[in-house]
Amino acid sequence: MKHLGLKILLVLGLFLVFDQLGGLLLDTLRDNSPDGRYHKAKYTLEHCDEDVVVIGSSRAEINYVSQIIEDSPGCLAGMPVAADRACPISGQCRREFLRGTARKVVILNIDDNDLEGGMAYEHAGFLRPFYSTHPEIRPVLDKTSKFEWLLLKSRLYAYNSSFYYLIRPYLVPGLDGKAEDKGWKPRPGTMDYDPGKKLESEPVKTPLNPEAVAAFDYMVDKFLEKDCQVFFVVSPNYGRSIGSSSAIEYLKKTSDKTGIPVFVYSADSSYITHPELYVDPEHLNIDGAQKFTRELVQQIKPYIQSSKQHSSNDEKVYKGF
Amino acid sequence: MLFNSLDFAIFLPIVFFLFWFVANRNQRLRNLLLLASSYLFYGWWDYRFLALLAFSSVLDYFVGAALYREENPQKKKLLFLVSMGVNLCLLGFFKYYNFFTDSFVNAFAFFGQQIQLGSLKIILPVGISFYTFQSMSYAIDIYRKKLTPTNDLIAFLAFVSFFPQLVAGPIERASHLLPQFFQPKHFSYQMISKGLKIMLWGFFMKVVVADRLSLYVDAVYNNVDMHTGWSYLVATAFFAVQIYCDFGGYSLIAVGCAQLFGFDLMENFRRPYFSASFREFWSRWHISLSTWFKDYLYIPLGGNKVSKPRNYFNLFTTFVISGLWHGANWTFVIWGAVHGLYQIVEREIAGIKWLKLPKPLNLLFVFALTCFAWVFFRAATLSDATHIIATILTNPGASLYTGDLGIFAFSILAVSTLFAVDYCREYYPDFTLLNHRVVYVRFATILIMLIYIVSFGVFDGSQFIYFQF
Repeated sequence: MKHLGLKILLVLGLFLVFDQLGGLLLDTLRDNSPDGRYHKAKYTLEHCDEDVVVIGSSRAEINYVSQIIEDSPGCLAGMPVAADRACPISGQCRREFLRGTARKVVILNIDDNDLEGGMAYEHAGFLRPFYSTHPEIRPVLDKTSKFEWLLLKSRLYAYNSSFYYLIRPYLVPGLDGKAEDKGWKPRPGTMDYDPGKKLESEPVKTPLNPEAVAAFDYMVDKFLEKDCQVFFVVSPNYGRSIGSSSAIEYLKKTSDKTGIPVFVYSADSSYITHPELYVDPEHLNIDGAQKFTRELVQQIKPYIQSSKQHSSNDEKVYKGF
Repeated sequence: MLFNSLDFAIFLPIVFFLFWFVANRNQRLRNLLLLASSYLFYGWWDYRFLALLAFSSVLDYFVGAALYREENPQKKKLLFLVSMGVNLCLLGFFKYYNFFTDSFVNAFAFFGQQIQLGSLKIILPVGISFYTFQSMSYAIDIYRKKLTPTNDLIAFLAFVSFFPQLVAGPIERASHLLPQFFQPKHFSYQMISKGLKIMLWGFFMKVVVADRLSLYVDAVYNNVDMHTGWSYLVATAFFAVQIYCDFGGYSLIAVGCAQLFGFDLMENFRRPYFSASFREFWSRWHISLSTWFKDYLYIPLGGNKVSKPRNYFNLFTTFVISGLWHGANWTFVIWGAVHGLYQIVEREIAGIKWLKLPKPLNLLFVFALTCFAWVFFRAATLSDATHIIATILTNPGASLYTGDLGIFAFSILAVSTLFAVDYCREYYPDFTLLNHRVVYVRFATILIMLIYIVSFGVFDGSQFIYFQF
């Protein structure tokens, strides 16, 4: 028994040494990543003080061109604009991102079914390398698996779902967006499509998920408390016309209460019937993202409050997900 | 309690130390400890079903004793039928009630008759198919005078509920496992080390391979209509490996875990995808179940000691029932039927010389046809299965869904690692890194496996697929 105990201790001890060394190596790779998600994620949220932030799923990352927002004459003039992307994870995680921040303009990209599904905590797994010690995000990470609190004591485990994305920017520089894209992830190419395919009609409305709604309300309240100017945007999908869904109706209801403008593109025929603007049915390609951002900027323009204008020339960019 | 959970990681060492503390002091206390541990292990999931497990075990214990004492053949038969009837009724009610009532209603509806048979909200007790079959085999063997009943109730209850194999097998025979509860146990470093290594490889199969592949397979199979034939093809091949690693991994953990207590469980999987025929496949796949069906269904039906048509009928019936054992759904029945047909066709063409293929081609052919059958096993409904097969055959498409590239890439890596290890075990059995004669190689292998599991494993607490059977 003693012999067995010693051998097990030896194996575990060696494992811990390799775990720490491996973790150190991976941390170095992460911190020196040439671009992409890992570079963006280095940003510490507590110090996020950009003037424009785009939050949402992968569509927030792909559909909004930071440079166009920055360069729009007369729209956000005088404001040092930068784009911010949140990762495609649950609402609760998104809301936790916002603690300690004071932004000026917030564009919330809400998917047409964003408030209806589950919280999908498992999608937060790829945040482990960055937020395992973050006081607000860590409780969300702990929900990704039953024993996450214990597993995260391993430095190698923190990269468990992320090796591919960690190595990718080294192999294909710029694949997840370059630093100068300021958080935008351009997706070149055009999707394959079936010319005979009919437009999908409105789906049956599914009930809202109270947990997702609570997280969303909390996030909006926080922004309003901080005197941010918030915009709700529903991005378009190719081949699906969604003018109304439980989430969209809820956005409109919130808009009535708070005065937050809502822009619904999910039933806009100048997008949803144009496959040449998409890289896949849910994400716009470079041309699509540019067209979409230009139009959105024009829509937002009348709402921008002069009081929000900022004189600072701070060019900091939050390179979120 | 799941093997891949922290609960089990705490439970196992406690039971291990207590067991070896009492192991050679008091055999009865040792069995009582195993019984209590096993009931705790099972009750951790839902304590209410402990009564069912206890009832089924106690019934077979007393019926077994009565069967042995009874001399009157008619009374003996009656006792035997009571045991079989009660066990099968319990299994039928908890597992198949809704399936049969729904099928009955649908069959009447097909002929234009509407009948009302309400469905019940029945929770399927975990592992009921496994422990019921294990318990039944005890009574059958005594009835056939192949086994002498035990007069130690504690040992018998511990045998039926032995926690390493309670919820997903291997389905042990009393003649093999029960005597081990009466043998003296001696602590041996080699034995424990061997058990831990078997468990480590089992965890690797489950956490690194099966759970990783399930992410891709679920994404494809849960969204039929949205994928190309190529994607279905890859997902089906992945599922073939997933279910092997899920169940094979569980079985290895069970075997290794039993070894920690000095118990020897039967091998349940022996690299099934290295089979050159379907007969060979079933001698390598879920061995404990296939031998159970062979001994208690196929041979009693007449086996191959009957006319050819009757033999084929026996084969087909055995596989259909085996399919139904896997789940209360027509997809499982079709899966069993397809395997039954494979066996029949294989026997029919066995003598045709020009149909003999080189072994590598045979392996591929058997794997491909096994995958075809897996479509029925994995698909949620028969219409999903037929849609997937039709898409693969008629419209493969130009693109392959890869989903998250990280998941896809690590799925390929996991399958490649598994294939390399199984290939070595199959063709170079003496080449084993985990049991290498050089201590540094053994240590390095264990370390690399631990690092691999932690780095590439999936730890979302997913269940072993076979728990539902």
